[in-house]
Amino acid sequence: MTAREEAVEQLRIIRRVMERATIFRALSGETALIGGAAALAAAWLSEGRHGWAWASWWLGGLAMVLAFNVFQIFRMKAAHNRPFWSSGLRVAIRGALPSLIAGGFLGLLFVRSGAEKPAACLWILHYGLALLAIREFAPKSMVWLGWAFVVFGVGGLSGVTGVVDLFAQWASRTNGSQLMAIAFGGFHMIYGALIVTTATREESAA
Amino acid sequence: MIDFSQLDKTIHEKGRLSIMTLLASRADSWAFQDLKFQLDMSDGNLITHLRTLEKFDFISGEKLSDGGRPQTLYTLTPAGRQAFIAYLSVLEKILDLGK
Repeated sequence: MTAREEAVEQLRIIRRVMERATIFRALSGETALIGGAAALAAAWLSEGRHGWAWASWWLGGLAMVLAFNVFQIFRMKAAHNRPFWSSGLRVAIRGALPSLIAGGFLGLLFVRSGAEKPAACLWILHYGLALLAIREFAPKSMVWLGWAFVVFGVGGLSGVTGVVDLFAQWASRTNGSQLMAIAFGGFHMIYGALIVTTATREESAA
Repeated sequence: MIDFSQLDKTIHEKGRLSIMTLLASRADSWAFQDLKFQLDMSDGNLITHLRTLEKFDFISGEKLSDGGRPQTLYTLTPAGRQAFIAYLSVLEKILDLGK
């Protein structure tokens, strides 16, 4: 092996270690499947409701899925004899929290005035932005999931506000529950199914 | 002429290079269990490498036992960070010479 080849090999080790150290899957495949199923159930239960009665089903579902995700992370850490409060988790929370707080607050403002569709679009959009905020140390699949939410959220908002005619016609035939079901239900189910069936490819370092 | 004789032999070993890389990747300290998980090393192997790096003052270990289980947290020392940067610099020069 020449000096150059050995230098390349050493740099390859450094790169591999760096990549492994920084990848953090904040959302496991199992949590995504549970979240997707919970979203579909919340969509069914909230259908035809308005204002806080509509939002309470979604907030209840969110609390349930968050609790499950915390349990999942705790279980994985315990299995590997690692502390729960890792730097990966701290960085993920720090990155995602601003978008989640801003989106949650804006959505609730619209819920207060009984406008579920824009509320749903804002929650979808900001959830996607939160996933993209941690893209530098997230697996590629989570980045794709983030983009799906952002594109759907922006498309939905442009339809709900009547900015784009094509989307406006489609948005007029939907309601907040259906928009939430497509994004939080459908996207999470697809993501969860892909992760669970291809688990070894993007091993979680959480 | 740049060659491997100018590389720090303490860092050059693959296990120790991996440890130094992990410690350099974050400002936070690393718990022994986290290092073990990331590097997939046995306890004995990891301890041997950590002791070698400590002996050369490249890393420092701090034992904590408040509350839960006792654990040792490792961080890169300023000397270790400087040595790691110098090591990368020599690797870069070797690659540049081959162009």
